[in-house]
Amino acid sequence: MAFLDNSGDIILDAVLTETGRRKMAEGNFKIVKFALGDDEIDYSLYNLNHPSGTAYADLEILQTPIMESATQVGLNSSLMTIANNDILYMPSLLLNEKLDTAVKRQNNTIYIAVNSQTKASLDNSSVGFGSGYALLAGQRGGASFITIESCMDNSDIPMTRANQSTYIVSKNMLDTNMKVTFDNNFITFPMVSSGKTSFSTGTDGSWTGTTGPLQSLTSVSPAARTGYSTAIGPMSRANIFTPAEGTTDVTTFIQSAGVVGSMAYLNVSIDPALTTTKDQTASTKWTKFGNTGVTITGLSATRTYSTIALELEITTNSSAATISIPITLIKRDT
Amino acid sequence: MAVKNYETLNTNTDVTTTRTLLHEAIPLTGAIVSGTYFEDYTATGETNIKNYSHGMFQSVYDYAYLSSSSNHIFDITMGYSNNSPLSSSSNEQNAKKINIYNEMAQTLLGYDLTGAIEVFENDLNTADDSGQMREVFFLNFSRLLTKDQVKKGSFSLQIGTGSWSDPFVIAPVGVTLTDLSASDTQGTNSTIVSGDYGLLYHSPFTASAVGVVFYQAGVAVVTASIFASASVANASTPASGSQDQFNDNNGTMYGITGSWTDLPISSSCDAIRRRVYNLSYNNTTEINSTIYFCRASSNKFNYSTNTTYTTGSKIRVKNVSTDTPVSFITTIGLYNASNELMAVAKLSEPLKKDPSNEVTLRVRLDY
Repeated sequence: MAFLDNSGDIILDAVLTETGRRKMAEGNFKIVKFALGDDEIDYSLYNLNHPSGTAYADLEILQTPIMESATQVGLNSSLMTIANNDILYMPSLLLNEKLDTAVKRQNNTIYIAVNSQTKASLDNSSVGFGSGYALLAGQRGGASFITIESCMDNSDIPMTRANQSTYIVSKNMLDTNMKVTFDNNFITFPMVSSGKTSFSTGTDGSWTGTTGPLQSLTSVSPAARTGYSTAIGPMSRANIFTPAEGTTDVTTFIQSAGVVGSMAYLNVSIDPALTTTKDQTASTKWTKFGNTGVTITGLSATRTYSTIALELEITTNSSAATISIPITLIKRDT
Repeated sequence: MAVKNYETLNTNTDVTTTRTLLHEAIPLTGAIVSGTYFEDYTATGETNIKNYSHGMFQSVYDYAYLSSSSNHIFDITMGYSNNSPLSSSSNEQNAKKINIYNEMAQTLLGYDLTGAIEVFENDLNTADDSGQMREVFFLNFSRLLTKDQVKKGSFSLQIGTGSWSDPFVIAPVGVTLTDLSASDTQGTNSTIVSGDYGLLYHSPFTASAVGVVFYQAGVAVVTASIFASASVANASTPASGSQDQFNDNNGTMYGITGSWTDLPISSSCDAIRRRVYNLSYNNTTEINSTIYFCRASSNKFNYSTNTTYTTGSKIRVKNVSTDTPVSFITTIGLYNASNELMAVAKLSEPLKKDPSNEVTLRVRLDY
């Protein structure tokens, strides 16, 4: 994609997407709405403290070169309408790695074992990471899961019920569900905690939450990206507050620096062809899309594994916060 | 839901359709048509000319046709009506020459009241049977160049009608056939089956037309009689006389009559190509557009889901809550009812959006 000529009048460069062309061929092409995007913009360039004054705050952003339209590149970052112009904080999505029930990353990814044999190898404290650093694909309960927080990640907004109400609920930014976008070549559907799952603290600030069995999100639909699908699952309103006279520091098990709005646990169900054990014939997907026979940093070099690096993209319904979670499917080879 | 990323388009006020005619000039010099691309591996030596085993027409390319970078420009062929004085069963390819004429006539003109195939005429009235052109050559232009149609009044064919040795002797350079009398509002016949046609006149003269150009079909039909003598002949006069030295076939000179009767179609086509000095017209592409007016009113699209929009959950473009929210538009996505992205448009530079301004972005999709 080349850059558009921005030396003269503002021009618009429009193309049909692959989906648009396919719909046109099917006689099913009808545009009914639009969205605006700002994929190229880096808002960190917005300088409210510009030495020449706030009128120059957007100087660098306005000089951002824009690339041509492409048929396979969508609109990833969209502008949104919020009726209230006085909003200063918006929820962020964070990956919780502090809770006992939250799986932790290793090598900057979350390892998802494709079978129990691999999971046992990863959990083994002598040849593996130890427990809590991998989850078993398709497992519904009694384990650690990917844990998502929709929160005000700012210590200016402490974890109080009043702040949750003021900054999140009353601003209509309490996320009640999330859209999970995943690569359907490997993942059949995501699994999430039910809306009744409790993410809470007691009066003393200690964790009183539950995990409960995850539910399968089998109702999936095509995503904007080719080869990807989406599914929508619930999030639970969090009741995680710092007690006035508590003895437990909430930040020991919560990732956010500020009040949490809602949370969810997440796992995935994968293509059964990927679940073979080390003595069985493996799917060719491992060799075509991943690495086989490799040793993993942090694991014993006496064992080799196959891996496929993927990503889960989470977008919430109310705040439209997003997070991309790196995951790695892993299978023990030897 | 607090936030909203989509805005519905009102089909009555936000969507409109337009039709635009786009014209391109197509100049074809005689050097492309003949005399430039020579190699020994073809019968005529011209590598940009494709002849077929059936021998009914030949194709002209802008480069050696075996090259993937060549483009088909036009086909050339000739023929005569079965009631032409030239028609004779003893003629070379007699049936094929008649078949070509009839095929072109029935496709372009259609049939008369009796069901007989119409005959090309040098006027705009095909019913009066006057000024019939019964010996003609055809230039069938490639749709690659013609696109949707030839622009009326833009066609010009400069062709040498002199002797074989000096075909362009007629001042200034051969004769120039144009359809200057035709336009979108007059000078064409639109009752025929193939769209409409205009008349080709020898430019300096106001005498009868010597050919017709079919605009939508992209076909020029020119009477053979323009080669009958050193001056432009009346189109209804049959070509005659071998003294005109129209064609040189392996060292033997043929007049227009001899070439039409005694030589194969491809030989006459070679002779005509050699006499093309310049050929030009404007093509027409009809662009049907749907214009979507994407209106972002003052209170909409002032926040962003861009990951860089916040840091520590705080909006970067604000210091305090009462500061105006700001966003920057670079992209417009057009969606169907299922939220599938149908089309995407990019602005050439970011457009600032805040509650103090409204933006209407006009996205045009061409079909």
